Amino acid sequence: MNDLAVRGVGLLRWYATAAGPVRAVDGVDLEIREGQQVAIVGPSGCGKSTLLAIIGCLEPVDGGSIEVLGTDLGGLGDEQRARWRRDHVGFIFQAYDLLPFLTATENVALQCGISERDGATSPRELLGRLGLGGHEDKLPDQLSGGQKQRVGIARCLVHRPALVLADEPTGGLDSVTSRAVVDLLLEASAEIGATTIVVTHDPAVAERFERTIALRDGRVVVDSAPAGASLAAPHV
Amino acid sequence: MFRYVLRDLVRNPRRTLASVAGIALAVGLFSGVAFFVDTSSAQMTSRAIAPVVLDMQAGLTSPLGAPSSATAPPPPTVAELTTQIRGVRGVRAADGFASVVLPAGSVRGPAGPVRGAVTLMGFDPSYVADFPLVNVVGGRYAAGRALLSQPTADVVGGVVGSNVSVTLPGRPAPLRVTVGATGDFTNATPLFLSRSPDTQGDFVASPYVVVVDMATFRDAVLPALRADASAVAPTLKAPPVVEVHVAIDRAALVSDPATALVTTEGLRRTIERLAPGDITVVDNLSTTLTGAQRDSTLAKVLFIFLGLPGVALAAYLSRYAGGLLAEAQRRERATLRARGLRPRAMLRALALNTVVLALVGSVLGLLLGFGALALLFNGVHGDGGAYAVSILLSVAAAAVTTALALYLPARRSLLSEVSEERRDIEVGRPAGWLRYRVDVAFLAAAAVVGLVTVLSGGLNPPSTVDTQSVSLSFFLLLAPAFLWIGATLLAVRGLLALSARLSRRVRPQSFRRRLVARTALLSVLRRPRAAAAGIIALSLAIAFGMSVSLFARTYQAEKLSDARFVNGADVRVTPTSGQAVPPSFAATLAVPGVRAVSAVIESSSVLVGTDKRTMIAIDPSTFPNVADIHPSFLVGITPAQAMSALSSNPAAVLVDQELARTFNIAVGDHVRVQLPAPGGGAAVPATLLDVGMYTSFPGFPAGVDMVGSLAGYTAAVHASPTLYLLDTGGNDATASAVAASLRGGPGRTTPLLIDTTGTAINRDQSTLSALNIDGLGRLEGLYTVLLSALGIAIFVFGLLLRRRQEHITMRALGIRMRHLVSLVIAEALLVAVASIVVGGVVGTAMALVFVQILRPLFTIPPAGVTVPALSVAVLLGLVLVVAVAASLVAGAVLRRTRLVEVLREE
Repeated sequence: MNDLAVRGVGLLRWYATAAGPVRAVDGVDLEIREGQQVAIVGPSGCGKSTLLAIIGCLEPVDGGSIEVLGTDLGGLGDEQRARWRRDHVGFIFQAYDLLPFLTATENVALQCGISERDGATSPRELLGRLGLGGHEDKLPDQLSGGQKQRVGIARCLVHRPALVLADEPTGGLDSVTSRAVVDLLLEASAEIGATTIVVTHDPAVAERFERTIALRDGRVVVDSAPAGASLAAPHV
Repeated sequence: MFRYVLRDLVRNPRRTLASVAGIALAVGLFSGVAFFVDTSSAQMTSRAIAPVVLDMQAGLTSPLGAPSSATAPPPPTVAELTTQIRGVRGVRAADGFASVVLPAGSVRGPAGPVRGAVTLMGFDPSYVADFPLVNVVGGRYAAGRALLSQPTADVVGGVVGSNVSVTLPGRPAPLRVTVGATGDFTNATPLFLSRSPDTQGDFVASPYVVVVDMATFRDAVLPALRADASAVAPTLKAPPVVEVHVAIDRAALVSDPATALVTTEGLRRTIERLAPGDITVVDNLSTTLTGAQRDSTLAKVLFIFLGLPGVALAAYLSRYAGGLLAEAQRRERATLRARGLRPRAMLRALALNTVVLALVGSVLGLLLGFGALALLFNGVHGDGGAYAVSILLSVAAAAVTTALALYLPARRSLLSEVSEERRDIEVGRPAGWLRYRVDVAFLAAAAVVGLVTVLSGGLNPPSTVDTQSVSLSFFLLLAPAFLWIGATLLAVRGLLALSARLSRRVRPQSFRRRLVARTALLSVLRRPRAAAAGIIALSLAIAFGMSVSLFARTYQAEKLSDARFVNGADVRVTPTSGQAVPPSFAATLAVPGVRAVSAVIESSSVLVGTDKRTMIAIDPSTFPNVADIHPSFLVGITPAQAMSALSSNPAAVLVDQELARTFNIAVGDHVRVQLPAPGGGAAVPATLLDVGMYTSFPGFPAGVDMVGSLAGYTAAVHASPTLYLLDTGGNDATASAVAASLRGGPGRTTPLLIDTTGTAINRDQSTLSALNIDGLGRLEGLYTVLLSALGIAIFVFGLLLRRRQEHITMRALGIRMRHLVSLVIAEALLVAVASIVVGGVVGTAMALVFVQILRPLFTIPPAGVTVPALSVAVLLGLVLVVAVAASLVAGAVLRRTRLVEVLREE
């Protein structure tokens, strides 16, 4: 299927802990179409962030194969993985992770510098479109949580990535701000045609997405709208 | 609890290592300086007594054997006294010695008589082995045989086995002795020194010496001298010298000069008690040790003042490391609090943690201290007791350092609320030293110390050239210490102000070009506190290292310069025979290595008014080639003008300022003097013209009253040069080689006293100016390098710790690893370069202050600081290298870090 953005087969990732090895992702099969907007849900520790990290090329897999945007991520070295990320992925983190010594505009512009790619719109303009007009020259600690996350969204989208990955983007926000941020994220990512995968434990956020994948103990337990019939059946 | 603390230390190796390294370096430096002082004191004792070849001389007050009063018992004989002294505990050897100067013609051999005065000595063959004064060069000196000096043997034809007759006043028939050996007396200077209270210490050299054993002297010589002394018109004007020479068991002297002095003085008193009133003991050892004892005390204070800043610095680094790691500790403490651990238990854990760190740091520090000492001194030589005290002090220093640097800040942090702490750190009130203007306070304190010093005349040159009497107010040494801290903090305040100004101007709109440079610049400019803390630590280290290095090199240069002043030139040659040397003698001194020779006549009997004054006559055309006449020596005249005046007028004379004041002589005045005629003839009146004044003159550290021209002097009286100054290019090795050539050349036929700058320095060892500052400089240089390396390494790893979240975020966003590492390197280099600039400037200023403070120690005022280019380059280069190396290691750590783990941390 040529329009698949993500294709994972038998994904396995385990961690060593004091109590012995723990399987964070345990034989997950997954297909996500290009442009699809997907929410991964589940209780804490179910492996949803690890799965997102595997898709975003932040973590390697211990078993199975993962192909994202036509690239087999398993065969990439450390520097190639970084390159793949800057070329294809936009990240949004729960703690915003803006660089504290850069203004909102500079934080967004830094992504362009890292990606060595200018967006269709300038960082300042993008921030204005995301409702941060007048806040462009403020440092992160002068912004509210919602404003910081909007800067995070701008940073994520400025280089027009094909894949937008967000880990609990509304984790620290109230429900109203949370809703606004999700709306903005969905709208902006759709505008650039990016496949969007969001990890959340908030059902209200998850229901806004066209597809929801639920994990428990590292396995997919529910997939609301599978990408293909052959791989649709959840491994329960 | 103990297991928890140990686990905590083991599981946080970076934190533990940084804290232990800081404490270990503090203790290492402290103990290193303390051990250095111990070893230096030991060396000071051994150095001070090394030139003393004759420890004590117990002289009979009545050498001819007359009792001190009619009722007094007869004085002990030399043999009795020798036996008694040998029984004194602590005496290694005691031998009888006697000498008398006989008139010319008293000694005759197969080839004829000696036409000069002859010194007849008496000592037994054991004396030669016990005292390294006389070197037997031919034959064997045995009882019943005579030992002749080489010149005597040459003149009288006294080969081994031949007979020599000695005519003694008071003895009808000459004493006939068989020659057993010939000897070299050039190192026997103490045997020729006058014992008369009026002229004690004067050197009356005689090339003609005949030695007989003590039994012969007692049985044949002394009766004759007694008969002569009781005659109506005695032939001999001076009585003989009859002594017991004593060698102390030096191995039994403890290393500390003060304690050694107590021992030697006790021995002297014990010997004096053996024959009260009948003997006078000249204690050469105690005289030397008295100077060494005073210098040892001064040295300890000076060393500690020079070393303490390093200890404070190491403690600061430890504190700095602790501060950087506070964030991680805070998180752990918050977890422990949340789990219900009570503050008291946490305080106990903290105390235990501190004790373990202090103990490990102490052990490592002491090992470092001993290691550095062994490295610098080729082993550990010193008194065990002194080292034990130093070890205890070092452990105490470790306890204080750990308490101040780690325990108290951590305790304060523990007792304050987490939210308060975060506000303090992140919202960021300016640091305490900025708010309370600690920099200004320190600079003001330095200025006050300096002002008080200047007003009290503390920086004036010494009123006497006698370096033995130099003393320093070590209160003055506070000035550079205050300057060090104050100037460094002020410079960093300036940098903070500059960064605040620049950060408002630098607003890049794009990072497409110069991503690393722009990011690093903004990171430093917009949050300069971390960099400022790093710059303070590193600048203090560099400034300390620079100041000690510059000061030590300047000190060495000045010491050499002073030694040259004392000696007059690289080599000083004094013919000691008392005979006039031929005019061609100067040419014979021009052995290979000699670049210039200048002859000097020294006379201590020039009559000015009714006073006997000293005068030297120099050759103004050659004297500047061999000696440095420092402009500061002359008053109102330059060295070139002075030499020109002496050249152009044979009657011209330079007059010592003191003499001019005493006799009310002004420049242009005529000075009428009487010059002594050689050979004891009538004094020759002369009128000299004062052409200039001086305060000191090279070659004559004890002072000379007038300096005239050689041509003028010899025109008035037909005197021969009494000494020669030789230039060998300023190299001590060449000077030593030249000295050896002279001993083997002209010295074989003419007894010569040869001094080089090296021997002048060694002779000067008992003075403070002979301190082993170079050794201390090397010790502290070693630690400065370690401290600087540790400082920049702590900064880089602290940066890694503080910026971890940012670095990992950027890596997640896809930044290249080389860009990320370059970012760390750029920030580290910015701090390193700023520290080099600040530390370099402050260090140089400190060295200048140090040199000014120690100015009174030197005769020739230091013109500035001497820069040891290699040491400075090594120090500064190392800072840059370690900055890059630590950044590369930090890059390796970043590579191994799991991105997801860090991104989830907040």
